[in-house]
Formats: sequence, structure tokens, C-alpha cells
Amino acid sequence: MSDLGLGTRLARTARGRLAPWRERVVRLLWALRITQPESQRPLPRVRIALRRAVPGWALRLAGLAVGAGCLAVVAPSLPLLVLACVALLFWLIRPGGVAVAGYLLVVGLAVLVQPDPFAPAGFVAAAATHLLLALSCLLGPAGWSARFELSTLGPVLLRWLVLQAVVQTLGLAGRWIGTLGLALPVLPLLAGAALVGFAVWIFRRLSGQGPD
Amino acid sequence: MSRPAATPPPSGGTALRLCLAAGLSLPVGVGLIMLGLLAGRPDVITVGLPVLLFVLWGWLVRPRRRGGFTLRGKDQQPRPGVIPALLGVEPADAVDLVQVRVNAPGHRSREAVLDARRFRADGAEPVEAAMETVRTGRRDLFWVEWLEAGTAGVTRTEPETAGPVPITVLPGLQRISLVPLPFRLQGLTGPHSWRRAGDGGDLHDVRMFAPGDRLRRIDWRVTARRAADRTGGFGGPGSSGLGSSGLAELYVRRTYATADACVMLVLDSRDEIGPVVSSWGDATEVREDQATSLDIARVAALSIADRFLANGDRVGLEDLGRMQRPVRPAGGQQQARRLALHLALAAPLGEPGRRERVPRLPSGSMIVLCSTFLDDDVARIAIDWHRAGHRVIAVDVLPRPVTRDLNPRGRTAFRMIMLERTLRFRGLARAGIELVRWDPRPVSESIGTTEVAPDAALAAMARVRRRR
Repeated sequence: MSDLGLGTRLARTARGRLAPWRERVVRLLWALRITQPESQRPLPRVRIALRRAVPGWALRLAGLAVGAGCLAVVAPSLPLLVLACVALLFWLIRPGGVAVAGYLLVVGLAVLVQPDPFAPAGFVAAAATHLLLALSCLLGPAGWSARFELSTLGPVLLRWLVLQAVVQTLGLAGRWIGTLGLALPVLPLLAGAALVGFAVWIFRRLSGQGPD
Repeated sequence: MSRPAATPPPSGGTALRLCLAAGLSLPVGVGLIMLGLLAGRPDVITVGLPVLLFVLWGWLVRPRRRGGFTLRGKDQQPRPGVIPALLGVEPADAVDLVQVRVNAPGHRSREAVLDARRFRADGAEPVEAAMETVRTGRRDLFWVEWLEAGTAGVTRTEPETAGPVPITVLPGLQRISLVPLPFRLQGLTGPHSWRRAGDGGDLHDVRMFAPGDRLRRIDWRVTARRAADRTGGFGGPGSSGLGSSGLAELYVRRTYATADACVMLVLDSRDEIGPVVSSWGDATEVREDQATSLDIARVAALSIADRFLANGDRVGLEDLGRMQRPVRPAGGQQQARRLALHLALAAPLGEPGRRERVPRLPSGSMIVLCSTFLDDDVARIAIDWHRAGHRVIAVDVLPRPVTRDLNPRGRTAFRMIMLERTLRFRGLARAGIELVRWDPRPVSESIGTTEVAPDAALAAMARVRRRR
């Protein structure tokens, strides 16, 4: 009798432990649509008549390629590389979220620790992070299967090109001025004042007190 | 074109906000610029500067008001198949992108990012969305979540919803070649010849002219032949020709009268079930590629009605699910449209109720009863109608049951329900009611099965002339 009781107890325990796994397997089979009746076939999609369109996953992969290419050129140290890869992975999953800011910060720090200001890493990082941010704003909350009309990419790339032309020119000029060895002690003070002003503006915006 | 389902009016004020990516990248970009300035590193500044300029550009040229959005059905009364809808966008100035997510019942939603400039051009056409369905009736089909994005998507509005769009999907038609007729035909004119003598085309008999007969009915050939028989023939030796005495007896030709059939469609809209048996009795949504019992009933009723109306007969409609007056029998295309609309609007109202009184229908009419026959009420009413002298044709519209996902207990319950139903059909057959099984499957799929296609079953009934 005692053996029988023990066996029953063991069976119950095993059944209790295995029940969640069974449920998981059932869910997995359902997700894979294996051995499901026709009543559970995948639902069709709504159709939209778009002009030439590109899928959201293609834009995400393009962003991933841009980010990875940037990292390859910048070649940050191992901790920064890991952080950048994590940020990039999060960006791939949710491009409209916080990941792009993290990636930007890591790449900026990686450029900062570079000894040579004229190294191509700075130019590439400026272009790549900007492009990644533009893609983030474009993708926003859209899913992997969202369709983007091809003409929506034109203005984004045009603005990127214009800003890059200005910024890279300014960057070259700044680097050239840096080689002259001019001493500008007022510059950090101006930067600090601008930072305080910006902080006041952004905090008022965030608290909803300032004008729209 | 239908009335737009939802048109949010353009509201004043700035409704756009920085998107999350831009809002979080801005302080990082500014921080990098400051860091570069403090460290004297122009290359670090160039990493943060485009971010700052990009976000500021987007923020400064943001739209000052919201745009509008309309959603409407392209065709208010389409047939089953592809159901289109039109998305009309009126973007505000400086809006670059319009993001939409189009939803439809039984479909996965579709997201799309549209170029707002295409809607500002003269003659800009709305975007067409479409879903596919075999379901019929009045249904809420499309609803859209949409938002506008400013320059390069830096600023965005809060998402809004438009719709749903109520669209009445009219039942389709299935080809029927022959249909049976009632026991008694009615009226003095119509497409069918009747057993009474009257003004028709088919010969009834030839008889002596009597007061009241029309002169144009005189059959001169018969009259002449009979006169010749009596007098010994024309032109013979003893004949006196067709004189006045030879035409003393005139014969008239009588024909069968014509009449039309009166048909009453009876729709049992008290319940609506899909093919998946496990979903019977719960609120599980039926897939769009699976017709419910009511969808099949609508197609069956309208197909039969269309055949009768094309013949020139009169067809009416009674809905067992609603306590209201039936659609009176009438003919013509207007009646076909009226019936289609009434059939499409028929839907269950709450729990199936019990019909105590048998609805009164025009005498002599043939009754086509479309039902699932899952309860005794309909069978009882059908037998009562048959006893009252109506020819009753029971159309079984139960969808082909899918029982694969039933547990053993549910399987047993289903088997019992089906047995009860079989007994019900036997009772109907014993009472003299004819049965047609209406299967929406294409004919090619039913080859090799024991079931008879509805067209063939109705044609077989039509060839056997039944009278009471």
C-alpha cells in the first residue's frame, strides 16, 4: 500500500512538474501550425494598394548593416563593442525606442577615445549614427512586416545628405583649426552656458510648462 | 459610394510630439557636442552635431494642426469575395508620412507608411484596402489606426482610430436550372400552363361553339372537316359545297390557362453557426473563409428566389427569427433586390426563441424552408404547413461540420445532436416534405460523394409533377 501511495505521489508530482512544459509544447506546436486543423490556419492579411514599397524588415536589416559597418570602422574597445552590439540588437528589435540613443552614446565615446582626430572613424561615425537615427524616426513603431512606400525614403535621405555635407565640412574645418594650436579658453565656458540653457529648455518642455 | 465611417475633423493647435528615438537622442547628441567642446575634439562634435540639427530641423518645421482621415466602403453592397474600402487622407502641411494600420475581421492587420505628398497633388486618389470573405450580411468590416509624422518622422501625432465601416455584403447566387412548382398554381396569367381551360398556348380540347366563346377561338379547319364529313366531302358528286347549311356547327379550340407560382422563402435566422463544432454555442469568431449556416441559407434562398423570379413567378420572404410582417410575394427585379437586402439583414437576435404559432402564409404557395433543423420547432412548423396544403421543401443549410478539435465528450454530444437531426429528417420525409441538402462546396469537390448537388436535387423534384 505504501509503495502504491508513494507511486501515486510521485506520479502526481511528476504530472504537476510536467504540466507547464506540456502547455509550452502545445503552444509551440500551435505557433508552428503543426498538426492543426484547418480552423486554425494562419489568417490572411488585409491588402493595401501601395505604390512601390519596401518592407520594414529590409529597412531594419539595412540599419543593422549600417550600425555594424560603423562599428567595424570605429573598432571600439571590447566593453564598448559589447555595449554597442547590445544596443544594435535592441535597435533591431525596437528601432523606435531607446536603443539608438544608447548606440549613439557608445559610438561617441568610442570616437572620443580614438587618438587621431583625422581618423576615418569620426567621419564614418557621424554619418552612420545620423543615418541610424533617421531610420529610427522613419521606422518608429511600425512592425517588421510594415510596408514603406519607396518615395518616403527620398526626403529622409535628402535631409541626411544635406546635413552631412554641412556637418562633415564643419568637422573638417574644426580639425584643421585644431591643428593650428589656437588657445580658446572661452570656448568651454560658452559650451557650459549653452548646456545649462539647453537643460533649462528641455526640462521645461518635459514638465509641460514651456510653450509647445 | 458609402457614407464615410469616421472623419475626425482637423483640430487646431499643435498635436505632434517628438518621437521617442529623437527625443532620447537629442540630449545624447548635445552631450557629445559639449564633451567635444570641453575636450577640444572636433571629431566628437561631428558625431553629436548632425543629431542635434536633424532633430531641431524636424521640430522647427513641424505641422501646426492635424490632418483628416476618412474611411469608407468602395461599394456599399458588394457580393462575397474581395471587399474593397477606400482610405482618404488629408494630411496637414509639413506632414511627410502617414502611418496606417488597416484591420479587418478574420485577417491579420497590415501596416503601411504612406508618402503624404501623394495626397496633396490634384486629383489624388484614396488608397484602396481589401479583404476577402465568403461571409454575408451587414457587418463592421474595416477599422484603421492612423497617425501623421512630420519631417522625416521626427515628430508624430498620437494614433487615432477610424471606423469601423458597416458594409452589407449581399449573398451570392448559385446557378439553378430547374425548380419544382407548388401543388396549385394561381392567377390567370403566368409562365406555367395550368390544368384549367383558359387563354394559354397548350391545346386543351376542341368543342362546339357555345355562347360566350370568342370568335377568334373558332377552329376553321376542324369546323370545315366536320362539315365535310357530315355532307360527304368537298366537290364530290353529291356535295353542295360549304353553303350556309354546312356551317351550322362551329368548333372552337380551347387551351390550357396559364398561371404563376407563389413561393414563400422561409429563413430560420434564429441561430447562426459555423462549421467548427467546438465553437457552437460560444462567442468564437467564425473565420472569413468559412460560411456560416446563415450565409448558406442566404445563398440558397436567394438562388431559388432568383430562379423563380426569372421564370416570372412571385416570391415572398418570411423570417422565423423576427416577429414582423413577411415580405409580400411579388415578381420582378425590384423584388429580387428587396429579397437580397432582407436576406442580408437577417441576423439572430439574442437566444433562439420558440415559435408557438405557425406563421400564416399565402394559400397554395410553395414553401422553401432554409434551416439547420437543430431543434424541433422548425420541423413542427414545416409539418403544419404541409398539412395545410402547402408544398414544403426543406433546405438543410448546416455547414459541413469540422469535429477534429472536439474532445471525446464533445464528440459524443455532437453525435447525439446529429442523430436527433437525422430522426427529425425522417419524420419530415414521412410527412411528405422534400429535403435538399445545400452544400456550398464546389461541384468538383462533391464528385465521388453520395450527396446530390442542390441543383440536381431541385431538378429531380421539378421533373416529378406532384399534386395533392
